[in-house]
Amino acid sequence: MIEISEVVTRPRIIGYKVTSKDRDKALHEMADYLHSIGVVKGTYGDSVIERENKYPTGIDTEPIPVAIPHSEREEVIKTAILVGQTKKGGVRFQKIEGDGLWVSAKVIFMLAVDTDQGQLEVISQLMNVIQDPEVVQRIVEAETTEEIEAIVGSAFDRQE
Amino acid sequence: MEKKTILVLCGAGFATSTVGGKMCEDVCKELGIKGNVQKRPATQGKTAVKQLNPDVILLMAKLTLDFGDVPVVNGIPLITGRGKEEVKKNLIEALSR
Repeated sequence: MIEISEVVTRPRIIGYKVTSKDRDKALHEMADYLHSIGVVKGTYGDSVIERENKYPTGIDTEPIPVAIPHSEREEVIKTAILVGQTKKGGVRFQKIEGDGLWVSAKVIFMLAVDTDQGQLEVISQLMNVIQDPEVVQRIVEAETTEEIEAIVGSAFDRQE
Repeated sequence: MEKKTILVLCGAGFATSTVGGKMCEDVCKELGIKGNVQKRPATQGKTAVKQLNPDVILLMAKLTLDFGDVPVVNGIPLITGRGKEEVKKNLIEALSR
Protein backbone atom coordinates (compact mmCIF):
# COMPACT_ATOMS: atom_id res chain seq x y z
CA MET A 1 0.00 0.00 0.00
CA ILE A 2 1.24 3.46 -0.82
CA GLU A 3 1.15 5.95 1.99
CA ILE A 4 -0.05 9.46 1.34
CA SER A 5 3.22 11.01 2.51
CA GLU A 6 5.13 9.18 -0.23
CA VAL A 7 2.80 10.42 -2.89
CA VAL A 8 3.29 13.98 -1.74
CA THR A 9 7.06 14.02 -1.40
CA ARG A 10 8.06 12.15 -4.50
CA PRO A 11 7.87 14.30 -7.61
CA ARG A 12 6.50 13.09 -10.88
CA ILE A 13 9.40 11.76 -12.91
CA ILE A 14 9.14 11.45 -16.67
CA GLY A 15 11.69 9.64 -18.81
CA TYR A 16 12.62 11.07 -22.18
CA LYS A 17 15.01 10.49 -25.08
CA VAL A 18 16.45 13.69 -26.46
CA THR A 19 16.90 13.71 -30.23
CA SER A 20 18.55 17.13 -30.73
CA LYS A 21 22.25 17.56 -30.14
CA ASP A 22 22.07 21.34 -30.12
CA ARG A 23 21.41 22.82 -26.68
CA ASP A 24 18.64 25.24 -27.59
CA LYS A 25 16.88 22.70 -29.79
CA ALA A 26 17.15 20.09 -27.05
CA LEU A 27 15.71 22.48 -24.46
CA HIS A 28 12.86 23.46 -26.77
CA GLU A 29 12.14 19.85 -27.56
CA MET A 30 11.97 18.96 -23.87
CA ALA A 31 9.91 22.01 -22.89
CA ASP A 32 7.48 21.36 -25.75
CA TYR A 33 7.04 17.84 -24.53
CA LEU A 34 6.30 19.06 -21.00
CA HIS A 35 3.85 21.54 -22.46
CA SER A 36 2.12 18.83 -24.47
CA ILE A 37 1.39 16.87 -21.30
CA GLY A 38 0.21 19.92 -19.37
CA VAL A 39 3.18 20.35 -17.01
CA VAL A 40 4.35 23.80 -18.12
CA LYS A 41 3.12 26.77 -20.12
CA GLY A 42 4.04 27.14 -23.79
CA THR A 43 6.62 29.82 -23.05
CA TYR A 44 8.68 27.57 -20.80
CA GLY A 45 11.29 26.66 -23.42
CA ASP A 46 12.15 30.28 -24.20
CA SER A 47 12.40 31.13 -20.52
CA VAL A 48 14.65 28.20 -19.76
CA ILE A 49 16.99 29.16 -22.61
CA GLU A 50 17.06 32.78 -21.51
CA ARG A 51 17.92 31.75 -17.97
CA GLU A 52 20.46 29.19 -19.14
CA ASN A 53 22.28 31.92 -21.08
CA LYS A 54 22.53 34.06 -17.96
CA TYR A 55 22.98 31.37 -15.30
CA PRO A 56 24.15 28.15 -16.90
CA THR A 57 23.36 24.78 -15.30
CA GLY A 58 25.87 22.34 -16.77
CA ILE A 59 27.44 20.29 -13.98
CA ASP A 60 30.63 18.31 -14.40
CA THR A 61 29.62 15.48 -12.13
CA GLU A 62 32.11 12.65 -12.45
CA PRO A 63 32.40 10.65 -14.54
CA ILE A 64 29.28 11.71 -16.46
CA PRO A 65 28.28 15.39 -16.74
CA VAL A 66 24.63 16.42 -16.41
CA ALA A 67 22.59 19.63 -16.64
CA ILE A 68 19.64 20.90 -14.60
CA PRO A 69 17.92 23.56 -16.76
CA HIS A 70 14.90 25.25 -15.19
CA SER A 71 12.97 28.47 -15.05
CA GLU A 72 10.66 30.53 -12.87
CA ARG A 73 7.85 28.88 -11.00
CA GLU A 74 5.21 31.08 -12.63
CA GLU A 75 5.44 28.99 -15.77
CA VAL A 76 5.02 25.66 -14.07
CA ILE A 77 1.56 24.16 -13.92
CA LYS A 78 2.39 20.88 -12.18
CA THR A 79 5.66 19.85 -10.58
CA ALA A 80 7.63 17.28 -12.57
CA ILE A 81 11.17 16.39 -13.53
CA LEU A 82 11.80 15.44 -17.12
CA VAL A 83 14.84 13.19 -17.30
CA GLY A 84 16.29 13.36 -20.79
CA GLN A 85 18.85 10.87 -22.01
CA THR A 86 20.84 12.50 -24.80
CA LYS A 87 22.35 11.01 -27.94
CA LYS A 88 25.81 9.56 -27.50
CA GLY A 89 27.91 12.70 -27.70
CA GLY A 90 25.74 14.57 -25.21
CA VAL A 91 24.54 18.16 -25.39
CA ARG A 92 26.94 20.99 -24.63
CA PHE A 93 26.07 23.20 -21.68
CA GLN A 94 28.07 25.92 -20.04
CA LYS A 95 29.18 25.06 -16.53
CA ILE A 96 27.24 26.34 -13.55
CA GLU A 97 30.46 27.79 -12.12
CA GLY A 98 30.31 30.41 -14.86
CA ASP A 99 33.97 29.95 -15.66
CA GLY A 100 33.19 29.91 -19.37
CA LEU A 101 33.92 26.21 -19.66
CA TRP A 102 31.54 23.69 -21.20
CA VAL A 103 30.48 20.16 -20.39
CA SER A 104 28.77 17.59 -22.60
CA ALA A 105 25.76 16.65 -20.53
CA LYS A 106 24.62 13.07 -21.08
CA VAL A 107 21.53 13.46 -18.95
CA ILE A 108 19.39 16.60 -18.88
CA PHE A 109 17.15 17.00 -15.85
CA MET A 110 14.61 19.63 -16.81
CA LEU A 111 13.05 20.87 -13.58
CA ALA A 112 9.50 22.09 -13.57
CA VAL A 113 9.06 22.76 -9.89
CA ASP A 114 6.25 24.68 -8.31
CA THR A 115 8.18 25.67 -5.26
CA ASP A 116 5.99 27.91 -3.24
CA GLN A 117 5.66 25.30 -0.58
CA GLY A 118 6.36 21.68 -0.13
CA GLN A 119 8.33 21.05 -3.27
CA LEU A 120 11.65 22.45 -2.16
CA GLU A 121 12.72 19.11 -0.83
CA VAL A 122 12.54 17.81 -4.40
CA ILE A 123 15.54 19.92 -5.36
CA SER A 124 17.70 18.69 -2.50
CA GLN A 125 16.76 15.13 -3.31
CA LEU A 126 17.60 15.65 -6.96
CA MET A 127 21.09 16.87 -6.03
CA ASN A 128 21.72 13.60 -4.23
CA VAL A 129 20.49 11.72 -7.28
CA ILE A 130 22.78 13.53 -9.72
CA GLN A 131 25.74 13.10 -7.39
CA ASP A 132 25.33 9.33 -7.48
CA PRO A 133 27.55 8.14 -10.38
CA GLU A 134 25.89 4.76 -10.51
CA VAL A 135 22.42 6.21 -11.00
CA VAL A 136 23.59 8.57 -13.75
CA GLN A 137 25.41 5.73 -15.48
CA ARG A 138 22.27 3.63 -15.45
CA ILE A 139 20.18 6.45 -16.92
CA VAL A 140 22.70 6.79 -19.75
CA GLU A 141 22.44 3.06 -20.46
CA ALA A 142 18.64 2.83 -20.17
CA GLU A 143 16.95 1.48 -23.28
CA THR A 144 13.47 2.83 -22.71
CA THR A 145 11.88 5.87 -21.12
CA GLU A 146 10.09 3.57 -18.67
CA GLU A 147 13.46 2.28 -17.55
CA ILE A 148 14.67 5.84 -16.96
CA GLU A 149 11.61 6.51 -14.84
CA ALA A 150 12.17 3.37 -12.78
CA ILE A 151 15.86 4.18 -12.17
CA VAL A 152 15.27 7.77 -11.11
CA GLY A 153 12.13 6.90 -9.17
CA SER A 154 13.87 4.31 -7.05
CA ALA A 155 16.82 6.67 -6.50
CA PHE A 156 14.36 9.20 -5.05
CA ASP A 157 12.66 6.56 -2.94
CA ARG A 158 15.93 5.43 -1.42
CA GLN A 159 16.34 8.80 0.24
CA GLU A 160 13.15 8.75 2.19
CA MET B 1 20.75 32.62 21.34
CA GLU B 2 22.97 34.46 18.91
CA LYS B 3 21.25 35.34 15.67
CA LYS B 4 22.89 35.48 12.24
CA THR B 5 21.48 36.39 8.88
CA ILE B 6 22.56 34.39 5.86
CA LEU B 7 21.72 35.42 2.33
CA VAL B 8 21.66 32.67 -0.29
CA LEU B 9 21.77 33.86 -3.89
CA CYS B 10 21.19 31.88 -7.07
CA GLY B 11 20.01 32.41 -10.61
CA ALA B 12 16.26 32.02 -10.26
CA GLY B 13 16.12 32.28 -6.48
CA PHE B 14 14.63 28.92 -5.71
CA ALA B 15 16.37 25.92 -7.19
CA THR B 16 20.02 25.80 -6.28
CA SER B 17 19.49 28.21 -3.38
CA THR B 18 17.33 25.55 -1.77
CA VAL B 19 20.34 23.30 -1.56
CA GLY B 20 22.45 26.13 -0.15
CA GLY B 21 19.74 27.07 2.32
CA LYS B 22 19.60 23.59 3.70
CA MET B 23 23.33 23.56 4.33
CA CYS B 24 23.05 26.93 6.13
CA GLU B 25 20.34 25.62 8.41
CA ASP B 26 22.41 22.56 9.23
CA VAL B 27 25.47 24.65 10.02
CA CYS B 28 23.50 27.03 12.25
CA LYS B 29 22.08 24.12 14.17
CA GLU B 30 25.54 22.71 14.61
CA LEU B 31 26.89 26.03 15.86
CA GLY B 32 23.91 26.53 18.15
CA ILE B 33 22.95 29.85 16.60
CA LYS B 34 19.64 31.07 15.31
CA GLY B 35 19.95 31.36 11.55
CA ASN B 36 17.78 33.65 9.51
CA VAL B 37 18.28 32.10 6.08
CA GLN B 38 16.98 34.21 3.20
CA LYS B 39 16.96 33.05 -0.42
CA ARG B 40 16.91 35.52 -3.26
CA PRO B 41 17.43 35.52 -7.03
CA ALA B 42 20.66 37.08 -8.20
CA THR B 43 18.87 40.08 -9.66
CA GLN B 44 17.81 41.09 -6.15
CA GLY B 45 21.27 40.53 -4.69
CA LYS B 46 22.27 44.14 -4.18
CA THR B 47 18.94 45.21 -2.70
CA ALA B 48 18.84 42.18 -0.43
CA VAL B 49 22.30 42.94 0.96
CA LYS B 50 21.17 46.47 1.82
CA GLN B 51 17.90 45.35 3.36
CA LEU B 52 19.09 42.33 5.29
CA ASN B 53 22.64 43.34 6.16
CA PRO B 54 23.65 39.64 6.17
CA ASP B 55 26.52 38.15 8.17
CA VAL B 56 27.47 35.99 5.23
CA ILE B 57 26.44 35.46 1.61
CA LEU B 58 26.34 31.99 0.09
CA LEU B 59 26.59 32.12 -3.70
CA MET B 60 24.92 29.36 -5.71
CA ALA B 61 25.63 30.96 -9.09
CA LYS B 62 28.49 32.87 -10.54
CA LEU B 63 28.02 36.50 -9.62
CA THR B 64 30.47 39.29 -10.05
CA LEU B 65 28.66 41.79 -7.85
CA ASP B 66 30.54 43.74 -5.25
CA PHE B 67 29.20 42.92 -1.80
CA GLY B 68 31.50 45.22 0.15
CA ASP B 69 32.69 43.82 3.47
CA VAL B 70 30.22 40.94 3.69
CA PRO B 71 32.02 37.59 3.58
CA VAL B 72 31.09 35.50 0.56
CA VAL B 73 31.17 31.70 0.40
CA ASN B 74 31.05 29.81 -2.89
CA GLY B 75 28.28 27.21 -2.59
CA ILE B 76 28.54 25.62 -6.03
CA PRO B 77 30.37 22.52 -4.70
CA LEU B 78 27.08 21.61 -2.99
CA ILE B 79 25.67 21.06 -6.47
CA THR B 80 28.60 19.29 -8.10
CA GLY B 81 29.17 17.18 -4.99
CA ARG B 82 32.89 17.84 -4.93
CA GLY B 83 34.17 19.96 -2.03
CA LYS B 84 30.99 20.00 0.05
CA GLU B 85 33.01 19.85 3.27
CA GLU B 86 34.99 22.90 2.23
CA VAL B 87 31.75 24.88 1.84
CA LYS B 88 30.67 23.83 5.30
CA LYS B 89 34.04 24.78 6.75
CA ASN B 90 33.93 28.21 5.11
CA LEU B 91 30.40 28.83 6.35
CA ILE B 92 31.31 27.87 9.90
CA GLU B 93 34.32 30.15 9.74
CA ALA B 94 32.30 33.10 8.45
CA LEU B 95 29.56 32.56 11.02
CA SER B 96 31.98 32.25 13.91
CA ARG B 97 33.37 35.73 13.40
